[in-house]
Amino acid sequence: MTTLTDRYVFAALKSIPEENRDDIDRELRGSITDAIEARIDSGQAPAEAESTVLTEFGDPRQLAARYAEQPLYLVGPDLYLSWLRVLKLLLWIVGATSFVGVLVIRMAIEPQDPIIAFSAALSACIGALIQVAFWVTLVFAILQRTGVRRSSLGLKTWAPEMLPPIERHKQVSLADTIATVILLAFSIGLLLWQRVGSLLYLEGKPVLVLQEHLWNFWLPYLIAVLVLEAVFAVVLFAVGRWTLPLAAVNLGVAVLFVIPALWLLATDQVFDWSFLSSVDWDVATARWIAGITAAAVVVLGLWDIASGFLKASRSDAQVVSTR
Amino acid sequence: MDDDLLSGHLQELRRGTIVVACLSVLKRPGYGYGLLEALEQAGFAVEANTLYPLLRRLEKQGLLTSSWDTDEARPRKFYTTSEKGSELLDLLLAEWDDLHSSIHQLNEEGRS
Repeated sequence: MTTLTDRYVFAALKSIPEENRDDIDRELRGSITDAIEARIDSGQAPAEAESTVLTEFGDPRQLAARYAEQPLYLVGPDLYLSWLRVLKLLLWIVGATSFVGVLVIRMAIEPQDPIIAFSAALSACIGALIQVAFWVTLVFAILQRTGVRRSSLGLKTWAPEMLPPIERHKQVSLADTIATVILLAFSIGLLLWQRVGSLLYLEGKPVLVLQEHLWNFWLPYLIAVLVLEAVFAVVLFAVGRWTLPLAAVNLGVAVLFVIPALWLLATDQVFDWSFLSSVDWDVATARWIAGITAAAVVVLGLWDIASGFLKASRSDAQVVSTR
Repeated sequence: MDDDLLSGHLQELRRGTIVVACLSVLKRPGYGYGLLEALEQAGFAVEANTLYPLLRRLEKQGLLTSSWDTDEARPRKFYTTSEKGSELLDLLLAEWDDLHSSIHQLNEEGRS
């Protein structure tokens, strides 16, 4: 008949290396029996004594981990910060690229269905994030278990030079970033909404504002650029301040939007003028609308680019002055 | 005093002293449960599931030696502090004395 003690020792020995088992088995059994007998001598019933002693010994797997000197955590303090940094970095990169990539590809293949493309991009992004979290953590857990330490990975030990510069006034506030992202998401939503409905209704029927053929390429393209703008806003927030390279990237993204938009407006490919006839407007009005839109695109684009460089130069001056 | 707070800090304070206590007690050969009781009587409440693996670790590090005593009704593994263990114990005790006087000095200064 097996006793509770037999079962306990069996459970504890299971994850202990073969060569130590016999020795630990004898010793552990002896120690448990000693403790039980001490309790029986002081008047406890045998069954109760055994149960109490084993309860005090605790979960056998925990005991085994202590014998085997294996940690009972996935990623320990030595690797934790490296794990967190790698995880954050990859989540950003993989999350953003998978979203933009899938969105652009889906829109290129099936331009008539932006909402499906958008949701496909979103689910691809979420899937990718889960994959990244899983694999990064798995690799680090294996490193932890196999006894690899930061030093043996060739990772630099922390040094004072690694301290980030102090930002006197944080240039990029969280509120601004959130507002920018929401605004961009709203713009994307507006464009997508064009596919299923319209902002304008005439006599109960939706009116097309944008030309239908834009969905073949240009609207998906512009949506992708808007997504890129949102990613840029988030990266900017992560960096915390404008720098010249960031201002240059900002210029690049702005150009990606402004130039095609101006060209489309100039070649009269943007607005669907059929609604004008129903409100009795003429071609001159159409030119006005296109012209004002083009002017707005130019002014906003230039302002965006210029403010990026202006803030970058200001923040450089500030960093120098704090040194 | 909050009991949890106190016991948490006491545990932290005693953590490193268990090795010192074990090496001290085991200058005379002793077996697991006997050591557990001796430590408990001396005010070092160690849990069995911490102590037994610790003894094996100290043995692996060459600080303890062990031998099975099979004369008794129940065979028991006896541990003894090795020469290396005694050396380490002396160093740890010297450090212990330093800490003791430093801490008291700090408190004296704080009082004046």
